Amino acid sequence: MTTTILETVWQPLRLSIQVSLISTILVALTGTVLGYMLSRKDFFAKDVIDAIITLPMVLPPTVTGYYLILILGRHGLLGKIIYNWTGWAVAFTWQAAAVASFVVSFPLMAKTARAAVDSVNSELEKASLLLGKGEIETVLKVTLPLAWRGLLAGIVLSFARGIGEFGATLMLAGNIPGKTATMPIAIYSATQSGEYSLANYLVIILTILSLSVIYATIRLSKRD
Amino acid sequence: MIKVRNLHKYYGDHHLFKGISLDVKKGEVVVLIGPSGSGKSSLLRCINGLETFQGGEIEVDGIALHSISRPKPSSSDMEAIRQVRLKVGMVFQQFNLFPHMTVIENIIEAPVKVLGVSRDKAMEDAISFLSRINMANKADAHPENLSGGQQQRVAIARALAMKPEAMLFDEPTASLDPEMVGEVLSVIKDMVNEGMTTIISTHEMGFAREAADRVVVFADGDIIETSAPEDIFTSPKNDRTKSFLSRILR
Ligand SMILES: Nc1ncnc2c1ncn2[C@@H]1O[C@H](COP(=O)(O)OP(=O)(O)OP(=O)(O)O)[C@@H](O)[C@H]1O
Ligand SMILES: [Mg+2]
Repeated sequence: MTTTILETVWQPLRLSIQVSLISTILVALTGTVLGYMLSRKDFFAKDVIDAIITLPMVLPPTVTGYYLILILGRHGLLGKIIYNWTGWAVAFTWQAAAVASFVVSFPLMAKTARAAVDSVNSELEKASLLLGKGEIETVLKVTLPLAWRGLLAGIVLSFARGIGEFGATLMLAGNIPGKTATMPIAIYSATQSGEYSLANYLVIILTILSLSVIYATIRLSKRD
Repeated sequence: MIKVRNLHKYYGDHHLFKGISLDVKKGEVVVLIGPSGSGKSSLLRCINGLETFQGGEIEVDGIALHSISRPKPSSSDMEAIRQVRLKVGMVFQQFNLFPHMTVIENIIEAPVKVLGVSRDKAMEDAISFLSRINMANKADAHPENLSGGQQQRVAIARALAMKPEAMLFDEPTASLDPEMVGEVLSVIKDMVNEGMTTIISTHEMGFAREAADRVVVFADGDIIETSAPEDIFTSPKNDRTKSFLSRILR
């Protein structure tokens, strides 16, 4: 059975998009919530939490991946519980690639969201509360609509970071063609095995994809 | 209607209010005057729960706000604050209109969402109020395209759309160009003439003289004099009132 080059390119591309989309949706929701909390709330160990979630931005992705194995591997802290319960382990599945993407793009989203919320005049939130609206309604109707540009930038950045994720993904999800081999990992494999024409295709597609995403962000942040 | 009793307020170590009291009757118009930093804004912000206080009590139309010494208010405190906010409307020096909404959306949002008024009814009320203040043609404009005076009148319309029992104004004309002060004060005067209970902090002495039932003079977090406007302006009793008035009236 011969697979066309189209299929060999399509598999990692589809996987990368699937993984990044799912991780981006989760990151957008949770990162916005944490960004809001960091901007507007005082809570226990706020700086410590801020520091811990920032860590994946500075650690080598292999270290982040190693931690993820310790936590989510079949014998990991959480992974063991999940495995005993369901007979399923997240490691070496496409979901593991999504988890890795999530962890490395979360700090980007949370920090961008925090800056976006910081930029909203809090007096407007007070005006909303004084009209009898609740906090959640105020966030949904006042804070987030006024912060949307920054939030969108964070979402796009998170997506781009997810698409480009390599190290932590390789550690937790491995390199299983068609299952966990996302674009960056497929490029690494192709190069290692001397399939340069495949590598070329993958590199060009990844470059165009990332470039369009960054270009879109620049345009969005410029528009009035 | 609004009762402030023995109010103590700290900002950190700074003991601003050392037990002040003030009673505002239904329909009464009370003007707060006094030098910058004397505590006028702080009092208004305590009344609507934007600031906590550490001693004494504030009661608005039967709902009591208690002093809060713990860092976080409890859920019953929060509920009392919410009830009070439904009873008192507030207008700030900075108009604080929602920039992403049109004039009409700014006005109808809270009545529809909070009071459950139908959208059509809220629109109708808003348009009729905007017509009264000659702004019906601006209903679909965004705040950034309005003058300061127009924005402040919309802010008043937005607060009144919640049908409050009382209104608080914190220097409503202080950030306006002089030629726009009159149009805003005239909207406030109309509101006052219809019997709205009002507390207003202002440096507009002409307005205080004309519209106030009572003038309350603040200095250093203390109420140093309370009298009818004619008494305050013609025969102030307190020396600090005298010097404040002579400075501001020039
Ligand atoms: N959030 C705050 N934190 C600390 N101190 C504050 C705060 N708000 C007000 N103060 C202090 O409380 C005092 C009273 O301030 P307040 O704003 O109530 O005065 P004001 O009479 O409204 O003055 P102005 O005419 O300038 O508006 C001032 O000494 C001020 O520095
Ligand atoms: Mg003030």
